[in-house]
Amino acid sequence: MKLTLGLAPGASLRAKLLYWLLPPMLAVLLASLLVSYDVALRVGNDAYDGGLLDDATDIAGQIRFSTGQPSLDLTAQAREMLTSTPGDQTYFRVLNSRGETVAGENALPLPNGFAAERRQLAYYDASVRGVAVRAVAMALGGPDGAGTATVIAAETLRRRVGIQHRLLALVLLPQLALIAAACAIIWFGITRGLRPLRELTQAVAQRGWNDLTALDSGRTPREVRPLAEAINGLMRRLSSAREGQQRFIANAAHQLRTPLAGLIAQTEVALAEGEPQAHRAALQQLRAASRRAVRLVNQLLTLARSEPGNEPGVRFGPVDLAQLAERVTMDWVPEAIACNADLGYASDCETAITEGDELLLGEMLSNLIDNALRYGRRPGTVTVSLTSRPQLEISVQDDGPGIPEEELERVFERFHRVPGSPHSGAGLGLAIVREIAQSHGATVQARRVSAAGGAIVVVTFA
Amino acid sequence: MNSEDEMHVLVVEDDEVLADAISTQMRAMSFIVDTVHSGALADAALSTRGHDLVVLDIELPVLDGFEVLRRLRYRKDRVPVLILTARDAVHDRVRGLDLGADDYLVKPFDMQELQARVRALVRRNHGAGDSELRAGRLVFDLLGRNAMVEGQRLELSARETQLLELLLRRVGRVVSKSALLQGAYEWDEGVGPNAVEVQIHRLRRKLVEAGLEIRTVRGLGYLMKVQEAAGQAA
Repeated sequence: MKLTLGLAPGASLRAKLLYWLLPPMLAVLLASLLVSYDVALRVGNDAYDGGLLDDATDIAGQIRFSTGQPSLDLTAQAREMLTSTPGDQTYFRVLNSRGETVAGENALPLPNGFAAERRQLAYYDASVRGVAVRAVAMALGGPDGAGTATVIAAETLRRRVGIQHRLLALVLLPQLALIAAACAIIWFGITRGLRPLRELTQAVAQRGWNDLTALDSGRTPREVRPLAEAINGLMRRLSSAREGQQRFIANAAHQLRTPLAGLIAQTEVALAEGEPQAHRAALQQLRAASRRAVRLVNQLLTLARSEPGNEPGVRFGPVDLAQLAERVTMDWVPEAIACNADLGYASDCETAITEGDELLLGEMLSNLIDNALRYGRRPGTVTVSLTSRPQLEISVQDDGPGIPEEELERVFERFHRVPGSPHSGAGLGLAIVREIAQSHGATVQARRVSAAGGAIVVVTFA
Repeated sequence: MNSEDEMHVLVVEDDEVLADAISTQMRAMSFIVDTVHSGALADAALSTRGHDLVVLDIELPVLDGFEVLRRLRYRKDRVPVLILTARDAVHDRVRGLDLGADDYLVKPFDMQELQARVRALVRRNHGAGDSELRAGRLVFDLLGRNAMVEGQRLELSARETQLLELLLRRVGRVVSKSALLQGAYEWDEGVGPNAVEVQIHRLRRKLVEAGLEIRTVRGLGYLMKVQEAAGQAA
């Protein structure tokens, strides 16, 4: 997920939630702050502007016109009252219709585009000798429409700035407190919300290695329940895999008992016998029993190795099945000759590259050939075939009695032996074939060649 | 350096039953055998006495076979080493060979296999290989390049001689058609597999007297086999 942008994937959920909640929350709060500050500012400004207009009106009331020419005659007391507002410096200026200053502060500018004839009233920002001021300009006419005058009243911004700061503090502080409170609430909320997860963690952590019973998912919240159920699913799979392995170990041990029992029995026979001829026969039996034990152990090791996940496909690499099949078949020819079987190879291609574990694939084919030699006819024919089209297939066919219809599926089960089968074996060969095929994404199928008999096992690569 | 007929072998194997069997087998092969049951004793024996061959078990307590081998090669001792291991995982074999082992056998093994490997190692180490190949009643002189059956020389063409040698070198095992083609014909002759079939057919008839048969292995090649009766007679 791209959501973890800027935070390590392993960062705490709390940090992640805050990371994603705080910036938008701050943005919303900032916007609301700006709006309320602006509104407060306008209200404050309007109040002061009203006061300024009062000043301007007071001055206008003192203007006298004589022949259209305005003049202002203020007593020192009145001037003092006008120019001294607590906290701020106040200025005024009176201009005649020609724009000449009649009274007051010369440096106080008129607003842009101000026309006295039109009896305008304008608020504006200006500056007097470098000091920022707020000003109002008011135009008035003389009695009987003779002459005009413009009155400007202005004041410095100290009180306005002061009230701005107070307003800002009044609005900002509660907002900041709100943000802090929201963070704290989120923090504790997450902690509380994550408690079921912590409880689940403890429940899993306190498990013994052999306790594979299901977790109680009834009390976990809806969001966490899939996790609890997934853990339970894993427990079920582990539990069934463990049962399978225990069954397998028990089976393997029982199977090993047989050749070992043969070893002991034959040894005792040999020890009891005085005849060299009988010794020799017993020793041959000993060797046969030992070889059966070795074969079984090797098969068990191969099974363990082909177990998916045991040695994950790290050893997978390109394998030339054509070369492999040819080599493995060649290796089996002497054994086939000893069994009086005609072992041959047929292929429709020179190379057939696939991904896999060469050792295991060789083992798979060995088991197929071994199986065909064991259960095929004697003298008989066994053929290893490699087909590259339409799909990569490797098959081994014999001309023995074949596998009964109802056994075609079951022959691939571990330790399964076809009832009435005359040969000794643990019933692992085809199980090995299937497990190696599966670990290579291939399927395996046993078929009867014809009604008369013959078995063919086909491994089809995906 | 020991003389050819007085070869000293060190057998390092902690399982006493197996060690005893291997030593007995080696003595039957006319070797002089020392047997030790631990890595430390093996290391001590190898640093003092000169051996002609070491049969070394890997799974030894405390000082394992890999370590014994590593120390041996560190001393620049080039004595041939045949590793015995119960593990057949590929990386174990590779590790052994990387450390300077000459060959390995996975337990359990047939004594015949052990014999064959040991002979090959001794032969390799003493340079000269055999000067003749024997099978059934046939003796093939590698230098003179002629085949004798009970003192009688077999009449063979140069190509038949070549094919015979290739098959004799791998008696009982399959030799692929392509290997025969490469070994007995020049590349530019452009002969097909049919030429091999014809020559093999002729050779087959000439070898009946020698008690040898050449089996055709469907789709793979040919295999030379000593006929049962002849094998016992030889």
